[in-house]
Amino acid sequence: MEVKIALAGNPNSGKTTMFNDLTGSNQRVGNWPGVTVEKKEGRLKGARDVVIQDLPGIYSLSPYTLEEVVARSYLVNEKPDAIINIVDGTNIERNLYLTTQLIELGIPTVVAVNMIDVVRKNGDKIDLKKLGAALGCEVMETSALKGEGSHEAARRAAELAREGRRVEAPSVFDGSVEHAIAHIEESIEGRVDKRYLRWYAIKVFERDEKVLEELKLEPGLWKHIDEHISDCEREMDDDAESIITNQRYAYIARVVSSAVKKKQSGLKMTASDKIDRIVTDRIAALPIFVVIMAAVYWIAMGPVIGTPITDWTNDVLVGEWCMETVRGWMEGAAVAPWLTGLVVDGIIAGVGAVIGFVPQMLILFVMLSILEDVGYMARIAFIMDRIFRKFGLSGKSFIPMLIGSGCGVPAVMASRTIENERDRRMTIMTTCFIPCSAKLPIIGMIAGAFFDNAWWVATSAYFVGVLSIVISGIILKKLKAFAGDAAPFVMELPPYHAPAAGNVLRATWERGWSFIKRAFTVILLSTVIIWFLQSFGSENGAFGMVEDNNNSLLAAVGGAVAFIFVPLGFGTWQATVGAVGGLVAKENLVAIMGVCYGFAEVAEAGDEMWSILAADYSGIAGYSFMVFNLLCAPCFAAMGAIKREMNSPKWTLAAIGYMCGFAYCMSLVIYQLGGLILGQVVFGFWTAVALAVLAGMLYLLFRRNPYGEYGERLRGKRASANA
Amino acid sequence: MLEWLCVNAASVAVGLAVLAVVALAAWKVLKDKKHGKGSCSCGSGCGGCACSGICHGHAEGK
Repeated sequence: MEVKIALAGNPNSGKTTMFNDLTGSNQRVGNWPGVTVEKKEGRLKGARDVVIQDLPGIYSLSPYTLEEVVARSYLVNEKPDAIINIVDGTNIERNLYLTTQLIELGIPTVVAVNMIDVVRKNGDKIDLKKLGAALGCEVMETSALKGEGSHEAARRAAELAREGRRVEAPSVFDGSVEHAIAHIEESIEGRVDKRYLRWYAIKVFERDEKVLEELKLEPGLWKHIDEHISDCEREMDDDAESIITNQRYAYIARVVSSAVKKKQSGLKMTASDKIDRIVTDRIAALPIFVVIMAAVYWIAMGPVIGTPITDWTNDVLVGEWCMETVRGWMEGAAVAPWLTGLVVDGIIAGVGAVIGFVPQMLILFVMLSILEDVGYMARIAFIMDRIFRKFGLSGKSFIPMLIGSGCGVPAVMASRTIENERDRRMTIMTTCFIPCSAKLPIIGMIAGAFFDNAWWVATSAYFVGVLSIVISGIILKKLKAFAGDAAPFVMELPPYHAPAAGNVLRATWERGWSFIKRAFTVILLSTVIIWFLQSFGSENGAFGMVEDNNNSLLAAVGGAVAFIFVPLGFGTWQATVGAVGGLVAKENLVAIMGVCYGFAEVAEAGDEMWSILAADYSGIAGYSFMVFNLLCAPCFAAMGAIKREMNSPKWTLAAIGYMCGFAYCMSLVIYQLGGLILGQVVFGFWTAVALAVLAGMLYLLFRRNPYGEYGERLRGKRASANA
Repeated sequence: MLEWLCVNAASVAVGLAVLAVVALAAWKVLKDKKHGKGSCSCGSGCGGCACSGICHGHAEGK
């Protein structure tokens, strides 16, 4: 008989670690139907008839988050044979809140008190027998990280499932609440699975909308039940949901006081608390964040590690080894010159220009994965919440932006966690400003061509993204469509711990491999098309292969619209084609530049594309080009995600239009005014326009917020302070 | 025809190889698109994202 065991627990309780320990490589990863929440299923090592289902990390069985909806729906509808409830032993009070709800489901449950090694190290003692007796189920100790006790817990859960033993839920609530629940149980008996009767009754008491919708109670019956609930609410002077929550916590407090003995007083600071005192300090937090991000980019793209590796990849691996060797072979075999051109100057030059940045990207991915695994990424959201709140956004909006440093698509999808529709739309509109990994080759190319691989170019690109979000936040919040207070932001800060090599390497490999695969598919196809378009055209009145690519089809098309970018300093057909081609995939821009500027021919002369770029554009034009491509419309995949998440053509167009408009304004100001200061631009019509744009932006930034209670309250506060 | 093929054998071979590579790349792109994977760097999932632990706390259980 096949047994299905569900792993349920709070986020960061060690659930996935235990799942990996129990199933090894025997896993299937997918998504839960209709949502982007990851679904993992596997078979127990040494017991093929036991299926382990890893549920999303949840705090309760109330449908507040997508994860909770998914987990609850699985537990109630799919009816697993047993549950292993993983409880973080170092944080037992909070974790038991979910436990009390799981037990009410009536499914055989084993409570695995995890991280028991840390509990022991802290000198705390948990009396498993007392805990088990109080909860009415089996309690076992485990340390998933050290592989201690997990298999015993799984075997015990499978035994309980086979025995079909029912769990008797303990009496958690006061007499009057239990009385009302008993009435509800009587009323809905026969409508639900007998095992789930108590759970449904409690949910009806809480007036859980989803459960009431499912039960479809007749109006007369519901009126009768509602009277019982209302009586209880009057007696307790609280609403039903709060009564249940409070009484659960009161019950947990009683259980913990009898079964758990903590060595240290609750006020003693842990190592994580001590680190957080510095890292999330009101004044020091932001400078520390800036220093850490600067260090990350310095290591990944700076002169010590990133640049030498990239130089070697570009010059030696791609330039000398690949291009020259292949060219030599093809010329030796008398392959048609145009075909040699397509392979060497088209495909290898284009794909090679992108592949050249893979080492830098891998280093960056390693660094970001370490920051995530250590627990610092969660702190960044916390730090940014304080700053974002001043501009009408919350730390909740920063989470998609953090994810955006990897890829814009999941970043846009992550905005689903924001309940407030206006904040969600604003987050979608601004989240792609953060440079995603596909934009890194653009940054690397500009840093290499114009700024001698200076590390600050990449760091500044990151902060231009953050600054653009802040500026957009302030400006948009003053519009009626986005006005309102920032949503409250609550998030768990997991304790710091040393990064696990496996986690870091897995995340780095998955992201790096995805990038390489794309270079050999989308980018390769694109370079072939670009090579044809820039190799054929009309020369001396005849159509055919052209000697000078300025006479090509691509030059004709790009040149026709290049005037748009003249005020930004890069009004050439190559840059125009690059910017448009970047919509296919952002790193495609680098591949196009590689093809258009003839990576191969230049490399033969012992030089590379970068010096040609530097000769064609000024430094400030290069920086303006980078900023435009970082901030303008993202790739088609991200635009698709925006369309799906906005669910409105009007808002999709508004979002993409805003990004393009904002990018144009920023680049204009940077090129015209920056160039004027540096002496690279002379004052002219577009400099005056740039000044007007800057003045307009400053006005929008500093004008009084005419909408929303937030602005009103702020004005009220200021008035009373002045008085 | 045979003579032309003999003279241009290398070009034909390279041309066919390039065609095969391009066809393979196009097939892969279309296949990914059919399976709901866009052309973004993450494959539209959270598995490869360093921040998946923040977005979905369950993804990186410690």
